[in-house]
Amino acid sequence: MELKRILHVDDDEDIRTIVQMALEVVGNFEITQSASGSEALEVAIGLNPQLLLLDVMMPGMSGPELWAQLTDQANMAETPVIFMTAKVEDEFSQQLVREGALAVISKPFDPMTLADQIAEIWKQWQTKD
Amino acid sequence: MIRALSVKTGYLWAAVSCAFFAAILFFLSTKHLLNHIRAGIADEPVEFLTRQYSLDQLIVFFLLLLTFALIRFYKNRFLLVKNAFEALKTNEISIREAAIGRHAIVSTLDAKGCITSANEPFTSKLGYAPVDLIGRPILELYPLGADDPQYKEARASITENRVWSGEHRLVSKDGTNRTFTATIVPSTDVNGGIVGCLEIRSDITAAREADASAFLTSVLEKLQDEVYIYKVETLEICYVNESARVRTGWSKDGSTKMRISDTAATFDEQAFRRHVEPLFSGEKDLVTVEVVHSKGPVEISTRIIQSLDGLPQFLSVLRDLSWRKEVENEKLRSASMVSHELRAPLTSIHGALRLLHSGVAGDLGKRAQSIMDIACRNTDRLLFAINDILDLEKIKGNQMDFSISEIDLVASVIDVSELMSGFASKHSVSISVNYGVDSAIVLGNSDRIAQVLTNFLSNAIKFSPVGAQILVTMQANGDNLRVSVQDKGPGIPDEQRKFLFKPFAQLRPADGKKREGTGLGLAIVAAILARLEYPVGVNSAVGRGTEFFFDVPKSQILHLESRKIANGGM
Repeated sequence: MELKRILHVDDDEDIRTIVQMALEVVGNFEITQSASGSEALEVAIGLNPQLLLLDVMMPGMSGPELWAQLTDQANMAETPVIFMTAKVEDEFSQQLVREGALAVISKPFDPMTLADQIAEIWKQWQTKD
Repeated sequence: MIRALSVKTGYLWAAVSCAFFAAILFFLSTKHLLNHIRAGIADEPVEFLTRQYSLDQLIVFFLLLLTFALIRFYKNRFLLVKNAFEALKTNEISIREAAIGRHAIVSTLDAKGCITSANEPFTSKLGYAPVDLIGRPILELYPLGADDPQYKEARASITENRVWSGEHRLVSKDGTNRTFTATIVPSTDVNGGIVGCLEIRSDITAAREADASAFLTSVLEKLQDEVYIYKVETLEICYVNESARVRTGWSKDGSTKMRISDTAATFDEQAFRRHVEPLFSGEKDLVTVEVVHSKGPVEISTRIIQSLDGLPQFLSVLRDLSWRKEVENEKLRSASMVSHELRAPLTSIHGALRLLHSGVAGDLGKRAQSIMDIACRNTDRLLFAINDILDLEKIKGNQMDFSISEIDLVASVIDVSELMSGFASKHSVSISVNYGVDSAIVLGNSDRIAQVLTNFLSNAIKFSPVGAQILVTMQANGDNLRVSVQDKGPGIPDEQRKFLFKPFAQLRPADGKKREGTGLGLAIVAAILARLEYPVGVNSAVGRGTEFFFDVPKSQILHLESRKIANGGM
């Protein structure tokens, strides 16, 4: 299945703009964006995204907490998730992958290759399944 | 004592005789005058020995005669008294010398403070020959010279004609300080003027050293670090301090029945002997290792000391590193926070610039494009610097992944070389791999080895002249496997080599041209290779190029297949 609909959640407006351009203009995805975990929970159910692209550190609800809520409340246990983070601890990233995340993309990312990077991760996940 | 008494009796005798003689003279002259007045005798001349004399003249003459006779009579006795005085003086000096000269350290000084005499104990204790001392100002023997507080105090006392007593130190000929208790007595002339002083000292150096030694032992005993002293040959314990006894549960007496290997169940004697080898080869005088102990991380520093009987012993000090690790972790947390705060806005700047630069937001004019290049290049530099600082902090804080697994080193080298070939093309240089081995399976961490090789190659590319070829070689080096990256760059001057692996060393290559870089790359490489226990090294000749290498030690090589005919390319 081809990846099309992505839900992106990040509290930083500028980064949301960069990611939107990187995925919609450079890549060819349909992207919906939320500025917080609670906002994401509201839009997620109706949206039914194919992939969740979540920032890790957000005020209020963190990325991993949002992931847990989406899994419980929005019935998205099957929806794959990719995290984005400016955190540097290897162990933290490895832990997220162990818990089921497809990948952790570190910030700053290259907006010109982000779409390809996500498409590649998606492809590998599809093949694996 | 008897002689002294007899001398005193002689004095008394002489005094009594003189008094008696004076009394007779007084009596005779008084009697004559009284008679003269009473009788009213005219002062008529008297014939005496054919000449005429007045009576008074005759009396004076007679008295002079009598005095002369008495002097002659007592002359011998006066001489006896004089001799007795001199004998007494000589005797007193000899008694004093006998009393203090044999045991005490005695010297005399003149009014200027120069040494006029020094006895044998003085010269032998301080190691000087008398000729070195006589005429020399005593202040030269005080450790601080004229500024020595004890010297100043003693001189002030002598100047005021007061005796000074106290403790002070003098410098012996071999340069060591000796401690003395001293009494310094001023000497005066008949008018009370200071002509010098007599100094009497006792050497208390040994006593003071014993006090200091007892003090140091008590300090050692109470030290928070664990201290172990043990025999080089048998590793039998000679001394452990209180902290060590508390952790090991040993008693003071019981500890000397133990060996250093009894301190930990996991003690590997062979590994220990290897660890202390540099102490015997003279390569190092202190070896240090960090281990995780039953009570957390500790640093063990070991050196060789000489025991009192001259035999070499190991001295190991165990320092608790928990607090240091905590500080490092805290630092890392801070660095991580700072990094996050920097990286988040940098993500937007970097992303925006990349999008503009790529033309996604519309074409830029030539001038705008060149300005955009500057912005992109410097954002990248900032990002590399932040990442390098964090990498270094992560290694120090044990936060970097160093999990060890079996890795195919040949594949790793090829992967990195291929990945770096794009960067090489940008600099118009090529990478060639020289396969000295067909297969090399080693214990290591592939990500970290890739990081090291990337760094070596990145440096080699940046420093190579246009069109040059960089040679990556894998080949057996004795029992080890050496991986090296060789360039034909300007080389590194000898004096700069020792700073190569230091952070922000800011080295200036032989050609003087500055290259892009954070100044942390080789520091990270050195830290990674130290953790992997792969020795790192560099060979360089100015004008001919540089070779960076690391050796995978034999103990980490699981499988090695050397190639008969070496070569390859990329």
